[in-house]
Amino acid sequence: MSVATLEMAADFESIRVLGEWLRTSMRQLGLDATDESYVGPIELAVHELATNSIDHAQADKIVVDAAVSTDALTIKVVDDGSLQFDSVQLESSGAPTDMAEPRVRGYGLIIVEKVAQSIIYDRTDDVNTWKLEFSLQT
Amino acid sequence: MESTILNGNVGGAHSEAGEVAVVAIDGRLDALEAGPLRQMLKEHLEIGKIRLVVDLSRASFIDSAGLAALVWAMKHARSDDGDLRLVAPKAAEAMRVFELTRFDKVFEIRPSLDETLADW
Repeated sequence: MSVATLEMAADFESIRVLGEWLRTSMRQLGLDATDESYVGPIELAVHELATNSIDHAQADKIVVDAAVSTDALTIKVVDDGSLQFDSVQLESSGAPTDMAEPRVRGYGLIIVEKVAQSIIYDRTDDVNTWKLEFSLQT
Repeated sequence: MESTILNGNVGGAHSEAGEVAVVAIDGRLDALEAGPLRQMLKEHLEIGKIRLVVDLSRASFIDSAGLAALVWAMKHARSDDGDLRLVAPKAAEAMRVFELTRFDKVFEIRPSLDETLADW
């Protein structure tokens, strides 16, 4: 399993490199990075997790790595944030149902849930780790 | 790196119903730009401009923070009997956040500024 890694400061300006890094990494991992209908949603999901690391975990540093196996693209977003993710938030973050009174915030994880095939969150030794898996294009 | 231009002072536009404030986004509408956009829309609402248009036709990328700023302003405009309408992004990367969250069904989204203003 080949791996590409990006380390960046946890601020909104720094995470703007994610899209370019993702496309470059996918090419290096032997994947087709030209199909925006495949790459675009993955970029958005990873961007949302990085934003979450800044907004909610209060991280100073974010490390993202991408790896490919025979059947999946795996992307890990790791931060040193002092705050743990509130799992209740994930469980209650289903798609908005009451469009007459839409919520103003909390859509980042809805996006991640819709795009990723699987999501695993772990906090160990004061480190938050999100592991996302995406099906490979056939 | 792409930059975003928030043009909140194009003088607005005029429809049959009166003045409409138009804000155009050029480039990314992400967490870095959502705050200034929300502030700009808030200022319009505070002076009674309850018909707002955000022109996303040149937006290249929108995330949930950008969406949240738009939702916030839409809710406030609608509560005052106004609305916030959108000119559709041309880039799929900018439209995606609306589709994934189903807000494409909540916002009034039209293909051009003229069509956005047509019945207002």
